[in-house]
Amino acid sequence: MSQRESAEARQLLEHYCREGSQPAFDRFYRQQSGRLWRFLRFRGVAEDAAYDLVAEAFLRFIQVVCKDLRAPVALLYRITLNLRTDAWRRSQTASDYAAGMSVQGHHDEPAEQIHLRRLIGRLPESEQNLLLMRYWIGLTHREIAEATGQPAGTVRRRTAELLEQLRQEWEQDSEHDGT
Amino acid sequence: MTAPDSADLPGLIRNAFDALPGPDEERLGAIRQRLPVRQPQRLTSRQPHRLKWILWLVLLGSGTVTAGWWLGTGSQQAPEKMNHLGQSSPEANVQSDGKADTSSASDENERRRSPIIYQR
Repeated sequence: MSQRESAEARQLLEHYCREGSQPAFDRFYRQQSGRLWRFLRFRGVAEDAAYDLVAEAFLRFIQVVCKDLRAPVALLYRITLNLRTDAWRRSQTASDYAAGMSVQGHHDEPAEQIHLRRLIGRLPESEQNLLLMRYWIGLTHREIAEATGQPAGTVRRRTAELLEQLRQEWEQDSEHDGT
Repeated sequence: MTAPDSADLPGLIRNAFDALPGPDEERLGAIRQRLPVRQPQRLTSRQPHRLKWILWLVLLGSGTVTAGWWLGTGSQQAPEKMNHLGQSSPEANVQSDGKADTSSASDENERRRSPIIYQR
């Protein structure tokens, strides 16, 4: 999600909150729900549980979003992460939530994409969240800070460090494969 | 497979995760249908609320101004009212030479304190 997409998401929700425009909300929902579902699947949530969490996240989102329209996408992900943590705690065995999506994508997918997902999947969960929110979902550092409760400066520094860490691990893997 | 530059990694991450299998659109559509429909209530409900506040402020302000005016002018009018009723203020009993006529003035004041109907 680029800056333009982020601004568009905000405009759609302003339209929805001020005028009750359902088409505007439908468009926002179509933009975000699929990506949110895939985010949850990669975060280790089973397929059916991911649909349930998407439903619950949007239900809560719709109740609070009009109170503060500054960073709606960040708000949606904050709600989702909280719900996912709660669901994880409720199911102590975590059997429902451990059956997440594998790093495998389509069979004809470039190997480097699969390798990158595998590298990211090795990181601690909080660091995966940072990388995905910044470089896949496209949130700004400030929005991620709001979503995760960390200082914006820490988010900025940590995302840069994580990129470098990924690159180094990729290099090590390449050397390993070469020997 | 060589490692990409740090500058290329963000684009690769985006592509790698966009390539993940997506959800069933019908199921997502069904979730959307179940979400509550919001009415355009925020602005319409807040405007009368603001108007009420403004009305209350205007009423409070005008009440304060009226009370202030009444206190200011009412206290000035009080001695005049007493004179209209034929009552004299204590200063009126003081003679021009500065001495009060105590004997006759006290009788007269006694009479004047009694209700008017008896004086007639």
